[in-house]
Amino acid sequence: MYNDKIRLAVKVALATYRPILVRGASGWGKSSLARSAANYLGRKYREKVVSSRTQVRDLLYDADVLRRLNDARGENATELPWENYIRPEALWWAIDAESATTQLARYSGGKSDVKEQSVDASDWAKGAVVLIDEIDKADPDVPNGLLVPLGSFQFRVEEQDDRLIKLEKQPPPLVFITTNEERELPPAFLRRCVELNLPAIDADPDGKIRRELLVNIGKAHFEGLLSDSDINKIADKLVPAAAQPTVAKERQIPSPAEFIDTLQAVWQLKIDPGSTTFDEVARITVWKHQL
Amino acid sequence: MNQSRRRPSAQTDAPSATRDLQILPQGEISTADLLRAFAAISPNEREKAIIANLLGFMWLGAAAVQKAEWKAEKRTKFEPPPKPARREMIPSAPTTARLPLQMGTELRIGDPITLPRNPPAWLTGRVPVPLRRQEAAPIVNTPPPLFFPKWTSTILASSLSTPDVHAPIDVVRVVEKTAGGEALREIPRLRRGTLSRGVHVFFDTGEEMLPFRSDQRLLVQHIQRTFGSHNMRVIEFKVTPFEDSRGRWRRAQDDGGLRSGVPVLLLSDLGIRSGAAPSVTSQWLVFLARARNAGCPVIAFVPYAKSRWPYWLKRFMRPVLWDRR
Repeated sequence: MYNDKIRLAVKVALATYRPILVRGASGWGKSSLARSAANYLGRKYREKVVSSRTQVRDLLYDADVLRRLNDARGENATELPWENYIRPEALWWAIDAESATTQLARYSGGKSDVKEQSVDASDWAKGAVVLIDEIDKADPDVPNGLLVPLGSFQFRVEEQDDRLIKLEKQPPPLVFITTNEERELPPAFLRRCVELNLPAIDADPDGKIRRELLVNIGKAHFEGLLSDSDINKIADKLVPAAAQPTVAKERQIPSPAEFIDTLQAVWQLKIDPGSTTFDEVARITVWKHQL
Repeated sequence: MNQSRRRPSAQTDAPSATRDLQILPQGEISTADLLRAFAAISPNEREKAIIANLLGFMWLGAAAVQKAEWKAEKRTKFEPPPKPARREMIPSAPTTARLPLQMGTELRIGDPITLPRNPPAWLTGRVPVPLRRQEAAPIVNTPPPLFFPKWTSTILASSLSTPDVHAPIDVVRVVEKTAGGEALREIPRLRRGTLSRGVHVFFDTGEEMLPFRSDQRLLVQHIQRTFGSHNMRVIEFKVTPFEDSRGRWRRAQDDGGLRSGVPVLLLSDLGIRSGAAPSVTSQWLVFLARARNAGCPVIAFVPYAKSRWPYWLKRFMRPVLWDRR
């Protein structure tokens, strides 16, 4: 369901080793684009959802200081090497999976819950796709702090005597960064990214292109479950020409996520798209903001 | 292009091809990125324009390509606009009909004008055409709000939040202190802001703020959506918070006073436009001292350039430039 512009953006990012900054309204597949790209390219996938408390280090590794303090109070505490308390995170795996695997083994120290996460470094030979989701939620320092790890694919682990982790044996990762534009991103960061706006449609004043896109997405997701005529009928109802003059036209076109939710409800609950029950379902899944 | 950078094909990404890969630290996106993308993808003219756009460049060939596409589209998809439906309009008065003012022979100033009781024949039996919406309500160009709408929530949240005493414990600081043998006098918590305390909004209704009135109202609506109407109080004033919106003296206990710890937001020019008199400045300073005694942080959204801010502004409150710049 991805058009030429989106495919081209991914190819450009792969060719230039630059992260893709994906903008766009919610529900238009910003985050799922990364997973789809990973599936298509056959790469390993890691993601990190950013919050207001996320720091750059959280994207690289996690230092379990509390466990180290607890161990320091034990009777047999003689040496407490930091190696045992550092857990690799998304970008470490994407930059050097071999050292990340070794590090995870040291961190787990035989713990069953962590050991399950260990993977074979050879799985990463094709490279990785990393999703850094909703970067606009983070402090302004975070995007600037990512310039070096994403620009040179290397970083230092401060707790391990500034141990250098760098890209050597695997292809550069493809990094997707999404933003909901709730906060302006630093210009220095923007100038290092390939920028993609979703839906990647140049002009669609009457919503026809988006309607076609929704129908195609619906057909791909519900092939054999819902008939094409039903999907078209639902699209006709959900993408009206000008049904609600009080609501901005842009808001009247449902996002793919909302459209899929509606189709899912129709299929699961066996609702006739022409019935009044469907109108009630549409009010719940699509016209929520008008309730 | 730097020969030391051996890179894989963008499409295949075969691991064997990347064995000797050396990634040099990359700065900002440059023409080298453009060339790299062109070399890897071998794009056509249209794709070149898209790639340049993705990388933040303007492709000079883009306009020509777009124009050619537009022309091709116009040739194939052009549909003439539908003709407007014919409506029965009220005809203009026949030239032979006499208008009321033409009926009298002479009119003098002060003479009452008597209109015929019955409408003229050319007007009877016609239904007036209803006014269209655009004709009924003229379009007024409202200026864009002073804050970008998408950023307003974040600006409000970051400037009006107060430290959250229930934030999670700052484990790193606890460990640092405990490992250093230091006694914990209070539990260190992560720095996190909360809007749960609410906000006092001081709304300047003075004439000086007239150009920003719609912005004031928009912002109050936005605050209501962000904080909840139960969690905010709007206090209107003129000149200084000691005068109500009608210019009458306001006592400290009026409007319930300031609740301890609740941030105060001033939507005012603080007398910048008119050049505040010393008495006005001293009233502001008294108000700020009261707010400080009540433990209320004061934030002012000031719609004037920083160069015009009075000296006491930064000293006793946190000013925020209320502008798009």
